[in-house]
Amino acid sequence: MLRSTKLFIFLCAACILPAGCNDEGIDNSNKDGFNRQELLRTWADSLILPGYTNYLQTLLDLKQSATDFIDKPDTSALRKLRSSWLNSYIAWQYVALYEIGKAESVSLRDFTNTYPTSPANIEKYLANGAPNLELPSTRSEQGFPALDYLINGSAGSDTGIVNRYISEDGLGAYTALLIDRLIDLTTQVRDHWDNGYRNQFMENSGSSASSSVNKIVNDYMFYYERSLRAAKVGIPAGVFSSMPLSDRVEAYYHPAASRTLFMHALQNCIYFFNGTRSVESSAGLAAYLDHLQTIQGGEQLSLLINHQFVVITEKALLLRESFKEQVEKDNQGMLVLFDALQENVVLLKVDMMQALNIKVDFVDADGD
Amino acid sequence: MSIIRTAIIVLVSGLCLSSCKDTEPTKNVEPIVNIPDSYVFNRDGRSTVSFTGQTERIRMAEELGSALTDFSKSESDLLEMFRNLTESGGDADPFSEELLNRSSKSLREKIAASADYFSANTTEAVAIRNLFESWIKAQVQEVFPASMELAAPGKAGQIASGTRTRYISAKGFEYDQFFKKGLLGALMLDQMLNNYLSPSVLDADMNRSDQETEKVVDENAYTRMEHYWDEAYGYLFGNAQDPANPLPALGTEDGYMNEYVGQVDADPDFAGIGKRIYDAFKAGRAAIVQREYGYRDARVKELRKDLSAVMAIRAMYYLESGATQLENDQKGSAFHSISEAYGFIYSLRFTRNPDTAGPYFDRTETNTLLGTLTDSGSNGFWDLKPETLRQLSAQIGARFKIDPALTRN
Repeated sequence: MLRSTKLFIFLCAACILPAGCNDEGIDNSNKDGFNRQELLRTWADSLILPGYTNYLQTLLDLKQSATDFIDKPDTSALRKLRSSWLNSYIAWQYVALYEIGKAESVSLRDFTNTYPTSPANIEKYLANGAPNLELPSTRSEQGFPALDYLINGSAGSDTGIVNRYISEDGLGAYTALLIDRLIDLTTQVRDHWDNGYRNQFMENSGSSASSSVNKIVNDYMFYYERSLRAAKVGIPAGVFSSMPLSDRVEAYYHPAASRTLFMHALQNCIYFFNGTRSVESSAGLAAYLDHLQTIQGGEQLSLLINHQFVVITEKALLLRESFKEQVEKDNQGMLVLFDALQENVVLLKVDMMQALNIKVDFVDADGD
Repeated sequence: MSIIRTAIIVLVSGLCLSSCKDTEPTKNVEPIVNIPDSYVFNRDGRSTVSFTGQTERIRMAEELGSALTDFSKSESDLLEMFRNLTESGGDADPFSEELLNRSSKSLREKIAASADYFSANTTEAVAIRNLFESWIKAQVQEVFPASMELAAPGKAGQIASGTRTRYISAKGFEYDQFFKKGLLGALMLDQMLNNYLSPSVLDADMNRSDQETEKVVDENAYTRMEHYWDEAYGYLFGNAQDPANPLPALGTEDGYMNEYVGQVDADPDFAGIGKRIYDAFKAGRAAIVQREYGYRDARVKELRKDLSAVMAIRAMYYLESGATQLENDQKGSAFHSISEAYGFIYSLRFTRNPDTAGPYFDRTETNTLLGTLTDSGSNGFWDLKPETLRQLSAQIGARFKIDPALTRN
């Protein structure tokens, strides 16, 4: 079981990269002797840039499906639109954690995937026109969750949804507006990486608080804790409230997708930790920990963390595809998954970050 | 790490030394005061503890505090909540809680109203009350109309702060934070330290001889001196679920004194301050019952020191946070922190230094600190530099003998 799950985790198109042997002539070794620039290059070239390129392509496909559906609304075009939406939502999971550079300055994550969405506000916009979507207060009325409401939840049946798109111009217009905004934000971020930020990211390879490694490892930790552990699992499971909140799951109006979205987000967390989509990388956080010979209770820390990722994967695969249903029918399984995720918070945030000498730069509370 | 730890130890032992000195009675013998396990005091089977007025004011502050960002409210709605009177001075019912509408009390009347600082200083007192009203008016006139605009330098509107949305003036000010954090000093702290805990108030009129004869006030079970002490206690624990044993829920009972004593207590560098404050309240109250006034006044000194320090620590914390957020280009979060800092710095004018009988920072000094925050450029907070915030934090820390590094988490 353990072995096959491990295979599952690292199963991917063979993006075998010439890892760890580039020869750019710049000495960017940290005092600890690990080549941080190579680490950054691996992240940028094998995960981040291909991630954005793929995500942007899925958004363009989504736009096409939406245009087809809006031009001629029927249930088959709706199903195609829905499948494009899910494809794009999955592709998003592979870039969601890189809230650095342009993504940070435009708040890509919050404008793309803040949920639960607000149907009441969306309905107001459908009737009276949309506000400026750059306003932070409109974050929960745009992005994938708002599209989720429009194409999956704006009426009780597929026919009902189609009929609304036929009879109300507001739906098509708002759907197109939301997709264009996602394309615009993502294009800005991808272009920024293409036009110089990749090199800037790699060259900032020191070990200060503002260095790329320190910043992106913090982004990773923040994403793992808030988005993966809390938003996708803990909040719906009621870990932070007195009662479980099944209406807080991701893709609430198409809840059969919630576990899938979680699995892909988890997958990318595993890729990031190991540096590439291939387990044989010599430039990932795992390799970095091995380089520092980080031992925890007699075991290599990198193996402990990867083992825990296997445990998390196993626990998640025991659950229903719909986390909404899982919370309502057997919340215990969600809590078990949350606990498994939490164990890696300790290994990553405390043991790993201490070993790498990276200070946590975010605090738990948002203040009031 | 070890340097920080040493600093903590030095600081803690410093506090201990000075408080031990404070508690030394004028005679050489420490009086024996029997202190109960919880804040429970009875006379003839009836509780003598009462602070309904404080509970009401805390709840008024809670309602008004949220209403300041409720864009459906009008200026006169908010001013009525502040004054609990109509514009023409008639009876108003501005609150959702019936108890508060029936109350004859108001927030405005107790702002800058302590016996020690303001009984002979009504000019400043009125100016301070009007300043609070000016923040309410500015919020409605400048911020409310721009609630669906994007903020920019010189332009009011909304701005993201983490996952939250903040509403700021053209200069980046959150007036609601000025108001709420300013209230901590101008109302709660001033009433506690400079009024109800002041020996000049506790011992006013015939209070000492009434305490001897246990002369109670009207139909109540308490003496005047006991009641005064409880009224100070009520500004910290008046909204507690269990006011007799309020420590387990410290920090969660309101958005004012209780919250911020709790916040400071939650910082490992200052852990224990909540219990120290509670213990001093309990011991001082027991001393009143047992008529040990020297012992009572030693507790007053401790309370003045610790509660004043809470204002300073929070001011420094928000200045340090604001500096880091500016460095990380998180403007919305930074402006929120700086707006909180503004209110806490404003509150410093109402602190009480047990050694000088005045505030740690007087009116002029406080205004200078605030001017540094607001006037570094024509666009207010938009023009602030992180190092300016760190300098202010260091300046406050030097006066209170608190290392800014300790306030950073």
